[in-house]
Amino acid sequence: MAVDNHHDEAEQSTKIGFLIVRHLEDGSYRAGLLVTDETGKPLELRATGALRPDPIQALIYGDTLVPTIAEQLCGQPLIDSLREQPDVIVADHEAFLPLHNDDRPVVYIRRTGQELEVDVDSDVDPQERRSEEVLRPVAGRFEPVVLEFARGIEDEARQLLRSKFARLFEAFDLVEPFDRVTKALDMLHEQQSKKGG
Amino acid sequence: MLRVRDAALRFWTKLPHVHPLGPCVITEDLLLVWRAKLVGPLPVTQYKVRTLKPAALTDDLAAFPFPTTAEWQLLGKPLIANVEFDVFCPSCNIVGKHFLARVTAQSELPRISREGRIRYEPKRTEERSPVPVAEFLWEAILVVLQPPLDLNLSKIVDLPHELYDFQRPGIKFLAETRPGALLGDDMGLGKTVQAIVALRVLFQAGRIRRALVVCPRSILRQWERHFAEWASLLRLSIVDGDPYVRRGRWGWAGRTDAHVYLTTYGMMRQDIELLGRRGQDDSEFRFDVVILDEISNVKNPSTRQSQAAKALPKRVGWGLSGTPLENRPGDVVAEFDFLHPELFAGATDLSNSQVRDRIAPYFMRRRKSEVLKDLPALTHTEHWLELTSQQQDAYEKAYETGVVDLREKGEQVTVTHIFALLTKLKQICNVDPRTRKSGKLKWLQENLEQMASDNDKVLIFSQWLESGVDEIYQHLPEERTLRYVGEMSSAKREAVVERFGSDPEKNVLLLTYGSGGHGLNLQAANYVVLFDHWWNPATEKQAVDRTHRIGQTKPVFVYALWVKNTVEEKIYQILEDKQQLFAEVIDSLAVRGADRTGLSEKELFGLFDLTPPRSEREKKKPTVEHLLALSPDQFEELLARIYRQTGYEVRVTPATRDQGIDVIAYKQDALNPECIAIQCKNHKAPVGRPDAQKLLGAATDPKYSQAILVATAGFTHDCEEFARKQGRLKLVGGQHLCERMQDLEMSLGAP
Repeated sequence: MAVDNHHDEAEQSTKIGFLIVRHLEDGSYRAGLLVTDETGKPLELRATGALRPDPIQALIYGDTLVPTIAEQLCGQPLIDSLREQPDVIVADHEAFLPLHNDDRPVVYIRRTGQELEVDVDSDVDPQERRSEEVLRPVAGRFEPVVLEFARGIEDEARQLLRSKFARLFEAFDLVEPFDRVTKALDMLHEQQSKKGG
Repeated sequence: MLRVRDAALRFWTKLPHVHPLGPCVITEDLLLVWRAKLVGPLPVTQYKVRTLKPAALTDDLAAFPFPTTAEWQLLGKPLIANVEFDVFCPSCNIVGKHFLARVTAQSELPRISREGRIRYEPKRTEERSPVPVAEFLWEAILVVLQPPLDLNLSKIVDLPHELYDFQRPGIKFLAETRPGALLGDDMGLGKTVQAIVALRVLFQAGRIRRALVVCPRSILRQWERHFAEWASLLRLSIVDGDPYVRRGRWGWAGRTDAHVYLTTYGMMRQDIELLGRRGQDDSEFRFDVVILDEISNVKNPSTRQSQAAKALPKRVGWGLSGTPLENRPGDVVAEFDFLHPELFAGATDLSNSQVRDRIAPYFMRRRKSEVLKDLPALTHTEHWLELTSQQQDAYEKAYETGVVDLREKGEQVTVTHIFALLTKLKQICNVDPRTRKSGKLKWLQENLEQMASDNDKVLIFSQWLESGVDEIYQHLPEERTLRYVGEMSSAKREAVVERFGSDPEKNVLLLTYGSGGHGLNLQAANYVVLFDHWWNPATEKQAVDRTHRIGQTKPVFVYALWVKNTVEEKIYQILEDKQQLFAEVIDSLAVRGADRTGLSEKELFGLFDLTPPRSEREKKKPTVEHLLALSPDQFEELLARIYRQTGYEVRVTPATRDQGIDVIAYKQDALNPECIAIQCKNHKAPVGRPDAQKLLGAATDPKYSQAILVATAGFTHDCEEFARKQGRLKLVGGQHLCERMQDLEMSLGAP
């Protein structure tokens, strides 16, 4: 699905994709990708159907189930289907980070304190180490967020991204659109469940 | 060329939900790429399909990108055929049937709009042409995809106009007050807009999913327009029309819910059982917010309307009312029975201050004079006119005869007698019934040109139809004058308002206080003439507020016409005193002094230098004997008052042309204006079947929804049997009438 109310100014400004995956109460997964302009106004939404792995699939995939769903079964098809290709994608799950590329970076973003910080990377190759930045908004307007970049990202690219997000964070809360996509996915799920889907 | 036959339209959807190899991406392609396949009684090859736009469609099976309007043309033999449109997902190759359009020869094929609607001629109605689920979903989802609106509204976006500063706290009050809120701002301060923006904020924040607005019929379209202007993202379902249509619009037949359902009190009352059944089908079904506009419509807890409102499955209730002065404490308690049922549960004998204190957290009211400093000036001018000589003769004769008659009645005189004389005299002040001469009409004719010039427009209000609106209409140029009265159909009334606003030639609008005093936005006018005067100053204020409200850019001039040396002068003095009271108590619930008529019994008797009989207290309880003492005219007038008091616009038919119908009562708040033919029999003997038959014969016109025969002494058994078999005929006996009057607190001792 896409919104076609493209604004001229929106086409000039940075387009941001907000990518989430939801594990629903009935055991299924849904993912959604909302593209907005710099002010958070929606330009396009793509959503997946419900994916309901059976017990055998869950057993076989193990810990890689969610990353597989997120990256391969949901993330990439969603990005490919976009009409409004975003300049940058922020994701609510680190499993989306492998979708990063230099032309269209992917950043995992979360509120500070959302995850327990455990330093498990000390013995890991620097190339594989998690790369995080804390972003604090001006005048405490929003709760601070943590940006986590794809492993192996160049320092220069990381700094560029950091500045870009710092600028965007001045205009609106970078985590808030996840709520919108969540609500949209819930509504989709509810509607399609009612329709027998 | 082929045409869709709307009756044969079918629609269904099978959106793929689980991909055999993983998730199926619901992409735009899935939802918006279609395949068309022509099937029919003859092989497909008998037909040729070609696209006019875009050019992707080929032969009998093709796909085209959905966002573009596609125009199709089927060329072939003039036969009936079916066209199936399949939804197609190129990424997983899943195809689901989407809808089937049956087409016939020699007409146009459907156009598929970007929303997926089939367009065809003649213009279709929404309920007969379902649209794909995808559109409903998208519209439902689009709201929650918008950036959230801050309840502080400091940075509210995408509003068509700037909100007034005072409206922001009103919006916040509605959005945050639980479990119910009553917004009682002065009329013209934008209660509708505040409610709509509050809904929008809550929808956008994902805090509500479904809302219901119930309003009087006269302002249904106004709500619709405001929704389109202030919250176009919200999907609105107007629940109106016949039961089949309404059923669809409440969200049955597999249709996805709207965000907001908009209906009238009449429809709500009729459909409450339907909604109850839906609640049984879906235990989660409820309205997150129910708004009752003009909440005084549910102030009588014994009515079906109030009971239906209370039975609505809801989480939060909002009430809107611009006339708290009319709200006596009992009314407010009844309204909160809907808004906050626990607030007055078990409470009895509460004082006004106790009631006020309890509702304080749930009640907000701002006065226009306090918050709208920038509204154009309002100039109120009284014009004291004289009766013409013909009017003077008629007035004096009626006055002398009437007063002598009252004095002769002595202790038997009641307020009803007083009221009948008063009405007669006031009508003569408007126009002499014999010669049609009128000082007020003369003034109007002399001054109208000056008022209705330079793009200015005039509203003229009267209390009556015949001796008011109709009479004035006959004396003004037809090409510039419009009428707006309750007996018109709602469609016609809407057309009148629309034309008055848009047609520069039509610059005079005549209204009765009853039909045009509430809810209408008539800012196109900036002159208001109060041709005569209601019993209550609050009603006149409502009339003026039709023009002096948000959106008015010109100064508003109000001309009140009064006649010197008549009862109007005496009434004026009393209303002046009441106006003072109005100013003092407007923010209070202590409004005992301002009842519906505005005039107390003592004041009414005082108009004719009489004092109420000593047995006043007894007289307040009407009895059949009291009724039998009334003349036929007085009895008809009593019936007229009863119906006026219950919200009807009433016409008392002339005695010589009544055709068996004495009073006609119109109610505006119904699907088709309710119209009741009433015959009054104030006889000492019971009324028999022939009278009932005669009434039914006189009321055969389909405009009458019901016939009511009122007989003080009751009915014969034969007559009752006859009425039982007639669905349209209702019998009302004298005792029932007395009880009804007591219910309405309008005993013979108080009009």
